[in-house]
Amino acid sequence: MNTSRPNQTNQIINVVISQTALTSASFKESIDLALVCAAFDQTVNIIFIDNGVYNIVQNQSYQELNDKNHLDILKGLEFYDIDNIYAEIESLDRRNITSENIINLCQTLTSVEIKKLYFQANHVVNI
Amino acid sequence: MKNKFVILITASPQNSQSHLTAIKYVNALIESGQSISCIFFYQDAVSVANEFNQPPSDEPQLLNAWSELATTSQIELMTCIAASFRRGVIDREEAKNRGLDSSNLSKHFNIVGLGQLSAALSEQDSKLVHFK
Repeated sequence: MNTSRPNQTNQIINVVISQTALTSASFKESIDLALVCAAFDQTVNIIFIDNGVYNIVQNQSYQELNDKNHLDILKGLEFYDIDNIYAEIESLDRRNITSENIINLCQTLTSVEIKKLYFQANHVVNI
Repeated sequence: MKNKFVILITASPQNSQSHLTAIKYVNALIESGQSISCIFFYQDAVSVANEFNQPPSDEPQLLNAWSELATTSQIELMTCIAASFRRGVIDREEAKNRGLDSSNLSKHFNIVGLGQLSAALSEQDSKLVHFK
């Protein structure tokens, strides 16, 4: 299938994750979308808000569930040139998650700063 | 500058009225002469392409509605390959590859990679409208 199109430009795409990896397939499918957009040379920001911030808590174990550990997926993002990974401070605070408890590759931003990212982006996808 | 609309549908056809809204929206875009570059079904929305779904006859027939829209407008209806296979929406080729007895993808839909959505989003004047 030919995926090249005329007028293709570098766009900024915000992929917003607001659910936990255990709630639905939304987390996995958001990451899939982010990876494909990065492969198409788009600038991708991954933004964790609401319950989505539970995904970035360190030292989560999936052994008892026999499921894939989603933290490994997040750690692999840098190999796809996705370095912009953000979490909303207010969402973390409301859930008593401190910045020491989240994975290193994630930066924290206030909701106002995240709104700025929304305005700067060409597309915002929250699936 | 004229927008090229990218229509993304992620809502379940069984649990949401978003498909009905999306169909109305797409028809309105066509009637007003807007350009639509892509209609993409992702997440639970891919189930609408499963022709084994048989909703009661007095309820909206979403597959028929989308099929009619695709036929009259000549706009391709794309479903994500990974999301489709994960939810048991299988085309003839994949059924054959996996030794399955039957396939269930409606002939009005095409299974494609996520790259098709990404390519549509990367167009300069693209405008994403998401039904979830």
